[in-house]
Amino acid sequence: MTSVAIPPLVEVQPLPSIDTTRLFKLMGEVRSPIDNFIANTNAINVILAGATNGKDPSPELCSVVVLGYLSAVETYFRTLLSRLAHIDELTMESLGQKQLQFSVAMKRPRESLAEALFEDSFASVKELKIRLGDIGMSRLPDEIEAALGTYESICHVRHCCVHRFGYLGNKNANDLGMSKHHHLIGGLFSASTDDLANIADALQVFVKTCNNHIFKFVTERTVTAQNDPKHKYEWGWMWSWKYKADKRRFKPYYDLFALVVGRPASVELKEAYRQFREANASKVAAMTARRKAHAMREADGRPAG
Amino acid sequence: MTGTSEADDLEFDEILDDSFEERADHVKEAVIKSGTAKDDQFDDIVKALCAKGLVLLVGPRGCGKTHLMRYAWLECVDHKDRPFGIYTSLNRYLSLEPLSRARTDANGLFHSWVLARILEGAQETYRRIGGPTDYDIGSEFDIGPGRLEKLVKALERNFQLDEGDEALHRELSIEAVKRVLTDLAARSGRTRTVLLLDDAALTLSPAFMTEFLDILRVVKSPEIAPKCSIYPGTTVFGTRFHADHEGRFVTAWTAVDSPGYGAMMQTIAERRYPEGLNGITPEASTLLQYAAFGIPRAYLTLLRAVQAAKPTRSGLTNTVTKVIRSHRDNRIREFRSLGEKVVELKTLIRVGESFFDGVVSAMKDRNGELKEKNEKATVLGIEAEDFDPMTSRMVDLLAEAGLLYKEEAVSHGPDRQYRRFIPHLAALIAARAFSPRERGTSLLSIVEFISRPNEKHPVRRKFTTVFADQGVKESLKLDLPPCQACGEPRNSEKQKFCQNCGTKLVDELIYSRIMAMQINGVPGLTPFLISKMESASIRTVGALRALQDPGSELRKIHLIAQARSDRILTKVEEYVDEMMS
Repeated sequence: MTSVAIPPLVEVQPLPSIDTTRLFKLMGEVRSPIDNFIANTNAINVILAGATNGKDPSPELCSVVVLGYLSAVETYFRTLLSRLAHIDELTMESLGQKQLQFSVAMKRPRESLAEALFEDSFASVKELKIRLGDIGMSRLPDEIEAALGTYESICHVRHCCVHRFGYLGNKNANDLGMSKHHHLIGGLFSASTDDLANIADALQVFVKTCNNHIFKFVTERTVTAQNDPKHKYEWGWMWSWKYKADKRRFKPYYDLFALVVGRPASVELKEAYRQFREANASKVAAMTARRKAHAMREADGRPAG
Repeated sequence: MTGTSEADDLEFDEILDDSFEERADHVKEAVIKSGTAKDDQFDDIVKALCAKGLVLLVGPRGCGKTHLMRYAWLECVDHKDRPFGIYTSLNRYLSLEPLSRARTDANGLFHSWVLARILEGAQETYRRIGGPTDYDIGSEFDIGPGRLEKLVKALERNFQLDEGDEALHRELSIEAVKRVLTDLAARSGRTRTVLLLDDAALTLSPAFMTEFLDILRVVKSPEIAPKCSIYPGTTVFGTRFHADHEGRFVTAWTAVDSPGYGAMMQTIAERRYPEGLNGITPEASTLLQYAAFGIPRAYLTLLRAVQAAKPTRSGLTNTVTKVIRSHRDNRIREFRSLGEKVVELKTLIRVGESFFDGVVSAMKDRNGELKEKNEKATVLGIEAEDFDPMTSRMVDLLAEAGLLYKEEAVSHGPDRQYRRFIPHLAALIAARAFSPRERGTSLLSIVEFISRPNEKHPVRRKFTTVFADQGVKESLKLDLPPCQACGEPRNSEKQKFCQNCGTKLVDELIYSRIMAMQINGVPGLTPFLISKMESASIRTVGALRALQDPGSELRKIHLIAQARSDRILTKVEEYVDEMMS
């Protein structure tokens, strides 16, 4: 006897098949990470403006926007650091002991291997600091340190959006400050248009600040290292401080960090190089003088001071 | 250019060089002490500036706030029973504006700049009354001599801060500064301190104003009393600072109909510019005093302009009316310059000027009706309910420029409050509002008309009526710049991102607009000097200031030696200070 099928409590339909190979398209244009970040966040801004039309967004839209924004931030850092590993010798050196999966090493072209090193999250201050530490930036500039608190708060909001559909959980309330947030536990993330604009603005400013400081750090580090006789890295080249000669070395850094498509755009390559040279000229002169004095003392048989 | 005309220009240059100083911030101390006309109001203000508690000294540009503050400071320096007085000017605040595009902590840097400026002022006072003449306040922070000045200069010139500057910036806290001030006061034998903070209106940078108010709130204590000079109307206190609760307002502007106004102006002229009174009849002098509209500096300028025209006895009337018309035009030009600096205000300024013309015209009409009565009309009344945020802002801008003087609001029956304003008397005189239906001009009859008492009620008008009379068809709005990336017009003032392309909306820096101003618009530069600079491709204020060593560069130009290069630099710096304050 055939029994009648018992209908499920909740009716279902056939499961659609998902072919992930059809879900991604390769982008031809290679832009700097900061240009991509600005383009990505601008796209979210347009969606938000179109969806709200001057009114406050729904809580669901708020969550989606914050997720999108933090995703753009993570993508920025991931792309920047992995591409940096291919152009900056000291970053390469710092990451030298990192391990890669065999499958990645087999299938991926050599120039994208470093990307596999940065698959982990950047969506917390702790993780971000570890990744920056990996490239040698163990002490962060004051300006970045001052902005980390804001970044961390937004990361906690994101956590609520990703894992709790925007509801504030105990752990995030604790991390945000229990005394100020205890009565909001279980509350739904629902920001006004101005609040979301502030979050967007804060993340853009944070990323731009990091971009400027990482650029300064890695470029100036080459100068310090080249002029430090005790530095372990063996350089095959030196900055000549002549634009024509140095352009080949400086341009990869410029291309990686400059905002070209976004507005206001960065200064031109030549001007950026001039500023780099100006910022380091006195440092180089001082180091050269110290080296000469050291050499003279050694030649005289006096102890080095 | 021919040799003769160059020679003519040279001669005119010398006249320029001989001009006396009208701005109090450039006047020498001896002149401040001896050239000050004191009356009861003056004494009350100086007393308030030396007393305990926060005081906000309110007045339009040029009304004598700086003079009062510097006088109060000198009083403190000279008298042991007065507090430890510190004078500093914040007029360079806008030069820190570019930092907001280079550093995320620009507001923090402004905070340090204000504290450093206060410390510089404290150092000056301590050198004068207590400590050694070479005392360096850096010793209170264990830093080398001159470090504080270096930080101030680096911030004002937007130089890269070195590690020492950054360390000092981190160390400068309000608490540390309070400790140093209290200590210096005690070492000078003074029991408390007054902080005379001049040019503290900061109207062009709301973000800096917020930061400044936070400093005020915290620095204020029973031992430290801040005093700030501000503009009427446009100084915005925000939601976190309740000005009435935190301190008290003191008006620096002297009403033209207040008793002793004429005597005060006369004394100032006698002490600061006695030769300016030569050949000036009493009625001409009185009329010029009215036209100065409570601004001593304006009275001196008017006298100087009359003297420069070298009028004959019979030509004096003509010269005086011409000079007053020119003064009115200059005041309006200064008002317009606000729209050049801050593009958002262009419509408000343009419509504001038409509104002002309408008010003057209304007064003229009413005085025509009062011709046969012994009364005059100078007060405009607008019902409080007629004001909205845009009309309020427009009227505030007119008040800041000194074109409208705000009087106390009065009640005309239940629920009917009128806000009252007096338009600048130079504009009323120039429009012949006090000589209705007269063919010729008699200075005496104008003075007599102005001396009449005001009629009981103000001339009442609605904004819509004045606008209609003036043919103003556009509605008041802020001229928000379009998106810098795609050109899409903005939807609102608070908007942060473009709704079309998503780009963050960035306003042009006011600082950049000032730097882009043409060198030929700088007052006090002769056509000769302007043409010389233009021949060296120095066409904007910014182009001159951007030179590594402007003095040396100027002296490379033919016929420009030390004196002329100094004069150019002084005039340009004065202009920049004026535009930025």
